Amino acid sequence: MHGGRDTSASSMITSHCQDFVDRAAQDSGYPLQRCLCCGWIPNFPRVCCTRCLGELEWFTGSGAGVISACAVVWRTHAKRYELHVPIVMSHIRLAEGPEVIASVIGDNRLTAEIGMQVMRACSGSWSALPQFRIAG
Amino acid sequence: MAPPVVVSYGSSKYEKQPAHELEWHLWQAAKACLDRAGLSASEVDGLALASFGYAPGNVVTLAEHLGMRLRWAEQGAYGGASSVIALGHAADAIGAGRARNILILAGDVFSVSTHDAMLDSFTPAIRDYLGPHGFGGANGVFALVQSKHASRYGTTRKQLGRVAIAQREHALLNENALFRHPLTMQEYMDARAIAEPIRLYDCVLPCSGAEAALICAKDVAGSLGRPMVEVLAMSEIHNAHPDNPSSLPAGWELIADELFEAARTAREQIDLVELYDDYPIMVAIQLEAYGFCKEGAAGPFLDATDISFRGELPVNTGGGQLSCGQCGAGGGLIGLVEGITQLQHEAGGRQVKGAGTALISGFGLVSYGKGLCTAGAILRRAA
Repeated sequence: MHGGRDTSASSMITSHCQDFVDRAAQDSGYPLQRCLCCGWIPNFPRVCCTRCLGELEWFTGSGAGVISACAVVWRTHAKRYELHVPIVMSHIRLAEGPEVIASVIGDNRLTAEIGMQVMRACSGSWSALPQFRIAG
Repeated sequence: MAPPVVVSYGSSKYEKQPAHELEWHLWQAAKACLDRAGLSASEVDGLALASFGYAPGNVVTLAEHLGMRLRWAEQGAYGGASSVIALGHAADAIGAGRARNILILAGDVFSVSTHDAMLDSFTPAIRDYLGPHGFGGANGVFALVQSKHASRYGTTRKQLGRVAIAQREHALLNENALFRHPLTMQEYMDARAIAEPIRLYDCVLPCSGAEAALICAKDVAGSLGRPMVEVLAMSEIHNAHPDNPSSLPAGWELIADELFEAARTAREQIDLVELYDDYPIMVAIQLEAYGFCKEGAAGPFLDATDISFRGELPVNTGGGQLSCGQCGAGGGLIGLVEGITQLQHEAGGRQVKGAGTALISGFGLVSYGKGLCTAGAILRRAA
């Protein structure tokens, strides 16, 4: 995992999660789903719409967002993440509407604070999930 | 049908490192509870169990293990809210004549490391969408909640520290508490960062233990000679805010009014509260959500209010999970057990004078940034 992406999580067992990871690997934006019936965009991948149980389609979000909560993890829940400490976890309000939870990476990550603009990180990611960098 | 009343409680001896298996802890808590009541195990016909670590066992296999014949059983699926919810469901079952003596049990055998291992895949959303970020477990989740509360309302660490310090004072008067030294504000403020803004004394210590409570039909309870505690009301709500990745708000604010109304009780009549205390910030959020202070005003409320067992609004009078330890799902029953103890006037040196009515709150099943299950119950000492 040193320098590479962590794909060791037991997570990739649901198709919506696998789709999310695959799309994140192929695109620089943020993979999102939209309901074909009501247009709702859920905040994390689902098998159906959380508003109307309608069918969802994938689309690529801009990858832009604003930090709405921020925490610095000094003690990880699993040893395989210790290499990345301190890990900056954030709530991020995406430009498309949903509020998601993701890590912020980069040498300046400890300067992250509520209200800051962030963008999907296109390089240097260590997670199979899309991570963010402070914009600008 | 005979109305239900709570008559007894019990705990196993908490352990920092697992020295006994889970069934031992559950047995110890059950035996302490039944012995205190003077009821034999063969008279128990209902059982509720909450435990994160008992699979593939469940409530019925535990009944098999303990030799109980059940007419009613409930497997807690609501994390730390399971036991408060079980209390309400058990009261309903007794009221409907489906059972007469229901034992509510909760516990786990955890150390810090086994607790960490569980967190990696605690729920599907954590396993898939938080774990791979190295999210830091529940500490990371609730650090984000605290960050948001502080940003939105100006709540300070020092204000939240008052919760940890008051509970530590209570724990010093509770022989089952694992933390046995007073906590000063300076120690609280200077503690090691875990997931900033959360520091060491904002966190529970995962431990081993179990808790038990007994609710009976009133005619049975009358023969036991124990002080009786009525369940005036219980309300629950799950996934209260589907699109919010945070426990701010968490759901109690949606059920509080109906809970007090159903209990025909005013907030001013509450003598003590046992709030789910995985973190001080969640205690603060419950104080707001139940209406003891306005939304966002928990910080100033904590500055101005004595929340010790001697105070205006005693909070978590046994020390709670923050100072006794969190024995997994047993952390959702410790507040109920303490509430019963107080209402039966058996809390010794930490007894709330004249305790007559208590609010007990549950919270659990942490998933995508929030606890999914919230519940509250109001209990009253019978005249």
